[in-house]
Amino acid sequence: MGLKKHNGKRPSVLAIHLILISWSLVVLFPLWTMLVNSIKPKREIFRHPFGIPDEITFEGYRHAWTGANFDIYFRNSIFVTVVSLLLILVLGSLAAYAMANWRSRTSNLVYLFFIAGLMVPIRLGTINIFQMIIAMGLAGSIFSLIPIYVAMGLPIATFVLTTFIRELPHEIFDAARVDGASEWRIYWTIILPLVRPALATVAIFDLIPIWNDIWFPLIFNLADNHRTVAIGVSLLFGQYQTNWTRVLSALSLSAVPILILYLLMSKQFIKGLTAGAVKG
Amino acid sequence: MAEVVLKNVCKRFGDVVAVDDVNLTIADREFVVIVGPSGCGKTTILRMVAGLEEITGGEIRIGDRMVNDLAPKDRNIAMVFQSYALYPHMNVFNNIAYGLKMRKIPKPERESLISKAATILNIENLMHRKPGQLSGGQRQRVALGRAIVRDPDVFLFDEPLSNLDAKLRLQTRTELKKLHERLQATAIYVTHDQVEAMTMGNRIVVVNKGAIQQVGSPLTVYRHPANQFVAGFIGSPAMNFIPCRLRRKMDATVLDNGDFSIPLAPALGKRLQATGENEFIFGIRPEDIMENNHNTQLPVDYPSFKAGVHVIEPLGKEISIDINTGEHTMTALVSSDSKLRLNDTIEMVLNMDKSRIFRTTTGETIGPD
Amino acid sequence: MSHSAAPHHKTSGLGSEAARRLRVWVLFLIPALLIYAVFMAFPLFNSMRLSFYTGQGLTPDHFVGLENYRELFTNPIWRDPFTNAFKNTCIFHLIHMAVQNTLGLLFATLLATPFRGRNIYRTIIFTPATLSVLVTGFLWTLILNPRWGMLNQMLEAVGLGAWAKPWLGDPDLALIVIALVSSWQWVGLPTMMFLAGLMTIPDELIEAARVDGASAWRIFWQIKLPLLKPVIGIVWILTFVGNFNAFDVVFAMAGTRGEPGYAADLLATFFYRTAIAGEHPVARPDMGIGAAVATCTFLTLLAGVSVWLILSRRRNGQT
Repeated sequence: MGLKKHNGKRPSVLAIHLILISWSLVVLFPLWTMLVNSIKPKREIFRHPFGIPDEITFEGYRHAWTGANFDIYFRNSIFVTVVSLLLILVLGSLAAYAMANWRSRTSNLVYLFFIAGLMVPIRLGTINIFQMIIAMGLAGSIFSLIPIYVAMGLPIATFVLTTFIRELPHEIFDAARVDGASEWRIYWTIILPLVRPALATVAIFDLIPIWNDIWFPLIFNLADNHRTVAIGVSLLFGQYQTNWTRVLSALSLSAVPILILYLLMSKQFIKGLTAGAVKG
Repeated sequence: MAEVVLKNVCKRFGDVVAVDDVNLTIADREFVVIVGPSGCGKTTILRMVAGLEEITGGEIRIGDRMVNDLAPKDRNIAMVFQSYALYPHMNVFNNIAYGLKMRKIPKPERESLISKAATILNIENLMHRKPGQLSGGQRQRVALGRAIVRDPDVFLFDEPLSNLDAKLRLQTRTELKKLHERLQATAIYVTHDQVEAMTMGNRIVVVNKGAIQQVGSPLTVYRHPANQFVAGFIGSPAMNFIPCRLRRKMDATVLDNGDFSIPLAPALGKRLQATGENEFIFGIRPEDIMENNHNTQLPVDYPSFKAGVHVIEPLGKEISIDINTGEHTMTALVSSDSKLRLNDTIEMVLNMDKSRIFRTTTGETIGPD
Repeated sequence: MSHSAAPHHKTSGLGSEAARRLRVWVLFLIPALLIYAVFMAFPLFNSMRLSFYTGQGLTPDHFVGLENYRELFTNPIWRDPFTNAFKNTCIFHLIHMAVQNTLGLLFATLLATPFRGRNIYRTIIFTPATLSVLVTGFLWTLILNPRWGMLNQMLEAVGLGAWAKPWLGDPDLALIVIALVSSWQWVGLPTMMFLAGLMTIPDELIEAARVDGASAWRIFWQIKLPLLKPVIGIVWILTFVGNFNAFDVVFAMAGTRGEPGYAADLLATFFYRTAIAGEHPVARPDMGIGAAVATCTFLTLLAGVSVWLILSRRRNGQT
C-alpha cells in the first residue's frame, strides 16, 4: 500500500514545512536579535547585528539591574502578580463552588454578571477607578494595582472554574455532606484538590496580562520604588534609546522569566491562554 | 438503631410535584426496597431522608428525632451512591476515613474501625490505591466500606448495583443481604430493577409518579398487586393486560374481549356491575397462560381459546411465546420441552386463580379477591 | 447513638437547613462579588455617568447633559482627532482580521495534519503571545529603526536597499506597520483556537468526503470552514474587543500621540490623552470628554458583541 501514498504525500508535507519554517524565522529573528545583541558592545551591534558576539559584555544587564532599579521593579512585579493571582484563585473558586451548587435565578444572574466582564475591558472604567484610588489614598502605591487586577481576573476565573466544578460528579459533594463535612470543609478537602487543573488554566490566563500591564501603572503614576518591570522598561527605553545594549538587556530581562516558564510548560500555557475561547 | 417514619412528605420543584404525600414507616433493622421506573421520585425520597434534598411538606423522623431541619451530617445516616462517589484524589484508606475524620474519631479508633470494615469487605489489599485504579466491583466495596465504618442508624442505597455487570450484580446482591443481616441496621434501598427489589427486600415499596402505589412483602406485591401499575411493573415477562367488556351471557356475567369470553364467579360479577362501569382490564401473567393438554390440572370451566404462535424466544428453562387470538396478542411461558413451532395454532387455557381484574378508570384492582 | 432531641418537634422550622446552606453560598460569593462590583462593574457605569458632567480636575461635578457628546461630535478640537482615532482603530482591526486571523487559519489548517515536529512549530508560533506588548513594540521599534535598524540592514544586504524605508516615520505606513507587529504577536491565539476547532471535526466526515472524491481544497471550503463558523465568530469578537481596547503597542511604537502626526492614533491613546494626560491644545485632562470617549468605545463594543450574539444564536437556531 505504501508507495503510492508516499509519493502523493511528500510534496504537501514539504510545503507545510516550508511555510511553517518561514514563519518560525519571522518569529525567532526578532527574539534572537534581542537576546544576542543584549550581550554585545554597542559598536558591534551596528557592525554585525545578527552574528554571534565576538566580545561578550553584561554591562547592559548590570546597568538595568542595579543602575535602573530593576531589582526593585522585579520584586514589585512578582509581589503584585503573586498576590493578585492568589486572591483571584481563592475568591474565584469559592464563588464558583457556590454558583455551581446553588441553582436559582439569583445565582444565574450573578453568574451572568461575572461573565459579562469577559467582554468588557476594565480600562473603560479607568476614570472612576483612578478617582477611587486617589480617594482611598492609594495613589502611587503598588497596592493600588492589586484590587484592580483581582477584579479584572475574576470573570475568567469564575467562568472556567464554575464550568469545571459543574462537570464534576455531583454525588461526590453529596457523599461528603453525608460523611459529615461542612461546605467549607468540602471546599478545602474536595474542591480545591480536584480543580487544580482548572486553577492552573486560570492562573496562566491571568498571569500574562497582570505581569505585562502598563496601563494602570502608567495612569496611577507609581512612586519610584513602587514601579513594576513593565513601567521600568518603558522608562529605560525613553532614557537610553540609543544605548542599544542597555535597552535590549532591559527588554530581555523583562521577557525572559515568562519565556522560560512558557518553554517549560508550553502545553498548559497554550491551553490557558486560549481558555476563554474554547468553551465560549 | 432506628425506625424511619415519613409522614405526608411532599417535594415540589417549582410547579412540578416530584413526591406527593408519601407515608411510610420503616421498622428498625428492616430492609426496605423502594422500586419504580426512572423519574418516579424514588431517589428524591431517599435524598430527602438523607437530608440532601429538603422537603416541601410533611415530616421525616429517624429514631425519635424529627430530622426535617437537620443537615445530612447530623442525621447519622450513611449513603451508597449510584456512581459510588469516591473521592478521586484520595486513596481507599482515606476515602473510608474521611467520614470518621469529620466526626473527630481519634486516630487509633479510626484505624481499627477501618481495618475491621476492610476485613468484612475483603479490601485490605486495596487500601493504598486510588479509586481510578479499581475495578467497578472494588469501587463498590469501598463505597460500602465508607458506609459501614460509620456504624450509622440507617443505610441508604441509591441504585448501588446498577453500574456493575450482570454477573457481579447477582453476586453482590447476596453479599449485601448477608451484610445487612450481620450489621442489623435499618436499610432503605432504591432501585429501578424489580428483580433486584423482589430478591432483596423484606418489604417492597412500589412508587410511580411521586406516589406510593403499594407496600408489601415481595410475594404480596407479586401475587396481590394493588393496581394495574404494580401488576405490570413487578414480574418479568410483564403481565398481559386485555381490555374487556362486561356482558351478561345467559345467567352468568362474563368479560368479553372480542375473541373469547371469560366467565366470572357470581359474586365477582356483582361487584363489577356495582361499579356502574362496563369496561375492565383483565390481567394474567405469562406463566398462568398454559397449553391446554392433559397435564393441566385446571378446572374444565376455565376459559380456553385457540391462538397462533407469533414469536418464540427461548429463555433457557422456559420458552416465552407471543400468541395471537385475533384481536389481542399475549405473552405466555411454556416448558422448554414443548415442540412448538412458529405459526402453529395451539389451544391455551387461563389459570383464573391467578388472574387479576382492574378498573379501566382508576387502574385499581377489583378482583378476583 | 445520640437521641437528644425532644421526641415532639414542631414542623415550623421547615427549610431552615436550606436557609443555612443559602447563607453559606452567599458567604462564598460575597468576597469575589464585592471586589468585582466595586472595582470593575461600578467604575464602568460610573464613568459613563461622568460623561454627562463637566468640571476641572479629578471630579467633574457640573451636570451638562449631552454637552460633552455635542463637543466631541461637533467641536473640531475634539471631533477631528476623535474621528481620526476611530477610523484608525477600524483600519487597525481590519488589518488584524486580514493578516492575523487569516494566517492563524492557515497555520491551524497546516498543523491539523499529523506530521512530525508540529509541536515545535506550535510552540514557536505561540511564543510572541506570551511576551509583553511593550517589549514587542520596543523591540520592533529598534528593528525598524531607519538608521541602524536590522530590517533595513538586512534589505541592503540582499540587494533590496531601495525598499528600505523609515517604517515608523512615514504617516502612510506607521499604522499598517504597527498593526502588522501586533498581528505578529497575537497570531498564536487564533491559530490555537482554529486548531482546537479543527480537531473537533470528526475524521469520518473528512474521510467520507474524500471517498466521495472531494479535493483537499473543496474539503477545506465546503466542510471545514462551515463547521468552523462558531470558532470564527469567537475569534472575530475577541479580536474586535482587543483591537478597540489596544493601547500598549501604539504607546510603545508611536507614543501616546500616535506619531507621526496622529497617523497611528487609536481610540485608547486618544482616551488616554483626553482623560489622563491632557490633549493638545487644551493640555489639561478633561474627564468629562474622556468619559464620553470611553462610553462611545463601550457602545461600539456593545454593538459588536450584540452582532456576534445575534449571529451565533441564529446559527444555533438553524442547526
